[in-house]
Amino acid sequence: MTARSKDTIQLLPSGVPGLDAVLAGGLPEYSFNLIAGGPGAGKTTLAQQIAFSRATEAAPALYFTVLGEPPLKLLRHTQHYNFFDATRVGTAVRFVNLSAEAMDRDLGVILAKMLGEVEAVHPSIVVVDSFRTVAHASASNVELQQFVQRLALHLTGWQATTFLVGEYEFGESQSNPLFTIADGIFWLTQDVERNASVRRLQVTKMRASGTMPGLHTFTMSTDGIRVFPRILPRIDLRPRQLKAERASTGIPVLDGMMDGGIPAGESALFVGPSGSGKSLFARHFIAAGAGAGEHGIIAVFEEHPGDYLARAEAFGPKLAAFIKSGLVEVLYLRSLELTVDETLAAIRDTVARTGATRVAIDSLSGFELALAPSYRDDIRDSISRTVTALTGLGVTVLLTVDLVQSFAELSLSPHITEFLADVLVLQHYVELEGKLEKVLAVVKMRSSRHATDIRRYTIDGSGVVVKDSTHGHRSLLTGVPIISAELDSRLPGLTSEEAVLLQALRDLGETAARELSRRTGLKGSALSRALERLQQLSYARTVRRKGAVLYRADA
Amino acid sequence: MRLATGLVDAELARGASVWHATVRLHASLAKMVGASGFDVLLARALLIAKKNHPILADFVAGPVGALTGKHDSANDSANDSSRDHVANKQAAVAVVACFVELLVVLIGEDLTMRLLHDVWQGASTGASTSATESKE
Repeated sequence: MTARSKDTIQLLPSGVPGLDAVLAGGLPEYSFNLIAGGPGAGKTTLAQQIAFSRATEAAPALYFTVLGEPPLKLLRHTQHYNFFDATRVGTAVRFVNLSAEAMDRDLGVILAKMLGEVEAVHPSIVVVDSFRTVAHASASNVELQQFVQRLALHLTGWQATTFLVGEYEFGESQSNPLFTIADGIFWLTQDVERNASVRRLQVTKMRASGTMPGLHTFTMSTDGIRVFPRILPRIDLRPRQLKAERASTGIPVLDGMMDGGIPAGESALFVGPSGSGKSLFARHFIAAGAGAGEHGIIAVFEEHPGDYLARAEAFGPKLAAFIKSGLVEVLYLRSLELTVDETLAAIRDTVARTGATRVAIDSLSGFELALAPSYRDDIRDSISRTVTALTGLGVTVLLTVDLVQSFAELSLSPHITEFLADVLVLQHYVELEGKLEKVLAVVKMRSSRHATDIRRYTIDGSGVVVKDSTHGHRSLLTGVPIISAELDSRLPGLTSEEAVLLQALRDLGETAARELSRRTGLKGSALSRALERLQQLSYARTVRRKGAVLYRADA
Repeated sequence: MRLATGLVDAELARGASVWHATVRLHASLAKMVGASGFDVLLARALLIAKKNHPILADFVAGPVGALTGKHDSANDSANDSSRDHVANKQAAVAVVACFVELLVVLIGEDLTMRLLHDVWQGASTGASTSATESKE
């Protein structure tokens, strides 16, 4: 007995971007498929795109139009798609109208007409659009089942890959024999959620092929349908060598806090309130890479690139020269109906095209706002997958996100969490000595040690300047820091609040209670008690100036 | 207009009536655009052409692209130089031209020319075959 090799089913490229990844390689050759969905879901476009992509004069596509969209209108509408090629109509793609036969409601006549055309043309692709109207000619489910079986048998015998297009509801798949006989079932849906249209594709069945499960978003444009597989295909980047194990942030002091910079191939999330300079950090990061000859991409959502770059010229670091040289590319992704995957695919495509080693997404908050509402629930998963895909290839990713809600807690958008980043940098506003100051801290680095102190930083014409540690203060992240009492240990008997209050008195000289409260954060009875204690212990005394009660530290 | 004239002339060269041009169009196009779709376009083309060609006044568009009326006599041959013949030919050309224009408006010039190319080729081939046959 000899071993017999298994027959392998050839997978045909569909010509629909992204669909082959969902189909684990392509359309199984000679398969008998159903494209189902509601009106306007994109069924006909999908079928035509496949037909025009696959068909040649030697192996044409036979496109049967039945009652439904009038053929003249179908031909008129199809021409808006770039895949349509008038020179191939009648040769590679042959349209045959079966309306007259369908009106006679005789399945035998319809089948005979179809098979006659198939035998005459020898097509590699057959489309019946809409099959639902053909099915209406059947008197019973049994008759329909026999018709479909005979059609499937003949078309497979003629080595045609077939697509029946029809308006079906998802619930019908249980009772309609067509769903049993079909080798593959493509479900297309279009839901309107709030003011946005959401298109999704699902391959619920594909015999002899391991398709990617789940709902995949897709878009329709003049280029036809583009599918965004739920699980990202691997990006084939150009071979490259990382120039350093650390990707400099472009800010030397911050690099020092990170033990040299962001570990190359990791992701860093910069979290801060509005106006705290998150975009500046993003630009520093990209400019630092470009200065070292690395390609970088900045994806912006909130500002037009022109405005974004004008801001870069005004507040630094300047990017114009890097953009001109092609080292930096600004991707502007702004639409109220973006899908998560569409947006992230644009970033991935640009990375693949340019060989970028640095990507800044500025910001996730703007990205979230740019999405159709229904996609916002998917954002965390999609960003996580994209960041993982990019960092897996050695791309260093910097993301910025707005800090919302309380100063006292790290609370991001409900759809974005910090878990997706390897490095977390927190930016904050604090009040220091009557001024609003900016501070930052490296909160986490998964694969590296890092400084834990909180640093002040300022923004000048060249960008961000990180300064010294904020010694002498504590509770900085509450936004109202308290001056640390360095003399705590030398002031026996004083609580830390009392020591802080004494330090404030020493710094300020004669001071009113209101100013002390503002300076130390102590209020009301707590402040009164502390002042009383300091006076009892002879650390402070009360003085009167023009009827006002002031406090001063004793020598 | 040149295309329409060419199609009508091709019918004459084959020894057919000038009114046969729309029948030939039907034979080639109805399969793709549907018989009813073709009928609708032809009826509208006839209506438009009637404005400038009184000879078409009693014409109707029938099945398979046929135009029938008082002046649809089969003797509108190439050798007939009568005034009626000239008027019939001009009217037939006008109907075909209107039909082509409607098709262009609906499906664009590129696709229309692509589809009519086959009709033209068929008509030309038929005409030359017919001419060869008559020489023999």
